[in-house]
Amino acid sequence: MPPQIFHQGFLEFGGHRYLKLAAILILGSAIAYSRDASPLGPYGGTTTGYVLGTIGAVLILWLMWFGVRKRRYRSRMGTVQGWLSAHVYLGASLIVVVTLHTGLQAGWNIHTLAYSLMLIVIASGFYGVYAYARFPTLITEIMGDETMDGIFLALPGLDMEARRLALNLPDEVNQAVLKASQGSRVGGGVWSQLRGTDPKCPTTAAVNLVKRAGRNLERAEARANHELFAVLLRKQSLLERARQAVMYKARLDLWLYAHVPLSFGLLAALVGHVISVFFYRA
Amino acid sequence: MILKCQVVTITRNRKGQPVRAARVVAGDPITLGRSAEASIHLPDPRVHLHHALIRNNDLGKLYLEGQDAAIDVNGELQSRAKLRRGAQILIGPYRIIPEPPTGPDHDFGLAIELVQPFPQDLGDLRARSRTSLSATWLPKRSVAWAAFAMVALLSLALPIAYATSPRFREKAAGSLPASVGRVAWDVAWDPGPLSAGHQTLSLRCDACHQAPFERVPDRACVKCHAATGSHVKEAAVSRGVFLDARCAECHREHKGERALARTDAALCVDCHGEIEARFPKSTLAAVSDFASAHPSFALYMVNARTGETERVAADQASSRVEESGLKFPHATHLNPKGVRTPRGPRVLECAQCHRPDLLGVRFEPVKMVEDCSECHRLEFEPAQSTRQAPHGKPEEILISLREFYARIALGDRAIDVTLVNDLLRRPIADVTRLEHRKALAWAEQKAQAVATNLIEVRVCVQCHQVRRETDRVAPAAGSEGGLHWSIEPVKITAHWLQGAFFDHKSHAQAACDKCHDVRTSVKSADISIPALATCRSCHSGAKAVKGKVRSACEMCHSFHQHSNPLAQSAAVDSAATLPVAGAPGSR
Repeated sequence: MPPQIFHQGFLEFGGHRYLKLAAILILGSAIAYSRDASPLGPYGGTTTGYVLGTIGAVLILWLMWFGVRKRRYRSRMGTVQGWLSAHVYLGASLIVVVTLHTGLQAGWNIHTLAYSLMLIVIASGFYGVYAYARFPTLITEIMGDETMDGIFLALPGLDMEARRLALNLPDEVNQAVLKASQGSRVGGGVWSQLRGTDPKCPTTAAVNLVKRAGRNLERAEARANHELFAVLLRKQSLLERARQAVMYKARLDLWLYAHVPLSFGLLAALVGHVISVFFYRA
Repeated sequence: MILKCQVVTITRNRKGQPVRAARVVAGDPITLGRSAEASIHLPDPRVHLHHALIRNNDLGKLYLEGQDAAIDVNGELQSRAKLRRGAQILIGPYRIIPEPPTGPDHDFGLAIELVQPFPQDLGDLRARSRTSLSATWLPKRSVAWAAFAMVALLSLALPIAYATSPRFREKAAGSLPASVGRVAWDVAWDPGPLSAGHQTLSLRCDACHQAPFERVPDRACVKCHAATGSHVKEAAVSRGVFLDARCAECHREHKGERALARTDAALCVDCHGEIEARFPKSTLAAVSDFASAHPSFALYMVNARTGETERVAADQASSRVEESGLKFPHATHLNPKGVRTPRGPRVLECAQCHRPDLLGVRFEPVKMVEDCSECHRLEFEPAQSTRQAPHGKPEEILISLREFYARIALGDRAIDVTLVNDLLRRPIADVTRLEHRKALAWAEQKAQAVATNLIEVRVCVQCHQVRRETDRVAPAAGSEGGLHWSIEPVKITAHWLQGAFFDHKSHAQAACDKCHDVRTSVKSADISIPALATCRSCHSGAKAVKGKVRSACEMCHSFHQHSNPLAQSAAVDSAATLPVAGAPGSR
């Protein structure tokens, strides 16, 4: 029997290899911290503090390198999935490692700025993990077998059909159909993408109009109108699905717009922190 | 009249050349529109259902009339226009040009060409629809670099510039906003508030951090703290033990207003826990915790022979007695029934003789004149006079008595003296040389007798150790007799526990006798410095114990003990004790 191949998420990568590594790191840091009997109390400048701080700084640099690694498609240094798994677990372990490095001391300075930025970056990363767990499923549910390109290819056909059907219908209807074919869109600006609906969608307007107009038409026109209504409804449904998919995709991507810039701010604060600590040595 | 119109539909072949297809339509009027019923059917959604019509007017001229919409004729919107040959008429995307009739079956011609074909739907749709955030204005890369640059500027570039160039600092103060300067110079790198004593230095980082990337050197500390001494008196030992330990290794800054020095037990116990192994020559006993492993107190006592204060190690201290040269039974003075005083019986309290010093740490020396003389009077003729001998050397007493009695012998009686002797019964007259000599001899004899009684029997000997000197050959100048006494110098130890710091003031809530058991002490030789156990009844060691005061080493001991202000005051005390030892009269 051939081995069954299951889909393996990045969280389960390598039999939770990096989860275990992160747990060891956290546990080790906690033990080192609790055993540290530095006479001047716990802070970043004790031996334990230096060790924890070095681990934290190296980890941060390595975590940021993920942004480079994931773009190097020809790299053979592990798989991107493996890197992502490690990125998530080791990144999360920083919460403990670096908090212990601070010795729970805080102030209005770049040291605490670096720490706060790190926490925000990690929090945004947690949202990213949540997003990756949730939104792709939702997108699949909405799209079914359809793809975004498929929808885009289907829409002009429906438009053409609608326009053809509307040719013999009153101007009002024709105008609405024309607007619907020329003005409907999927996604758009940041807000439109995140909202997932378009309250000013001309297709929706046309659907409503055609529905109303049908009452005053007769025979051939009424039949054409009815057909037009069906075509427009199909178009509206496709648009709505596409918009929802775009919405989930946008929510899936949005956190990176905080995660990446903040981690660059963190990098600067980290460099400042390390240099300042050695510039003014105790 | 039915109008007949030749409709020429122009399409373009691949080379873009027009291809004409003609047919004739008839009607009155001829209608143009999207409607299937229109004479000229223009199937494009941009055309109105009934867009326009062509008809004759009364004069037989052809007119074009807009029906549902106006018509664009030669670029002008008109509701009605004469159909002229060669005119350009736009209806929706169609260009219509009237033409002359080419045959008899029609009245006029219209060349119709679709000049604005319906746009490509898919391309337009894609152009309108942005389906990913990366296609929007939302920036990632630029914001990332901006965040990096801003944080780097405020937390790295400016602080370094401020720190390394005072000139830049001055310039920046003028040109940069104050808040930016404050963040970059004052806030960004400051890891925490300075201790209270150092807060005057808070904007002068270079006062301590003298060079970039170098540790704070001791010279930066010593600049102000020149008086701070070492832990060990001998410089060589100090160097050997502490090597190149820097001040900053124990004294840490930027840790808030209070925390500054390292005071953990390990600081002491690392060496003192096994001091005999580390320093075989040391006379110190091993100590690792006050509660469990602390030697009995070593005492700093005045050596009766040399007069110097010496350290008596704990194991010898128990066999030592104080040789102060003074007789003082605490029991007698603290008799609960009271003691006799000139003002009647009184119960004495410790505080009547032991007055705290200025700091309240220890006590002022007890002084004879202030603390004892109210009861211990030095009257030498108490029956006749309240005159007192001076509290001084025997010679001074003798001189004083000699003068007193000579005055009487020579007839110039003291005011309060009523005694009458043989010589003085006679009326006062000129005395002969012989009489004069006899009078003085009497005075000398009287003075010596009284002094002997005073010193050896009645007064001095009560408190002092008095010895009559017989081997003196040459009497002191002015003294005729051969009587001499020596009084043992008083050598009272003022500061017993110089190895530690004990503050009476912070123990003031406890009664004196809780620690100093002197109520039954009948000898001044008794030492009443409390034993270790007494302290331990309230003080635990470095570990906290319920109901006791947690007491790590630094509670009683100072690291820089050779410059400890309390140690210094001890030095002053013992310095003050020494001359006293040689001169009992001053007390």
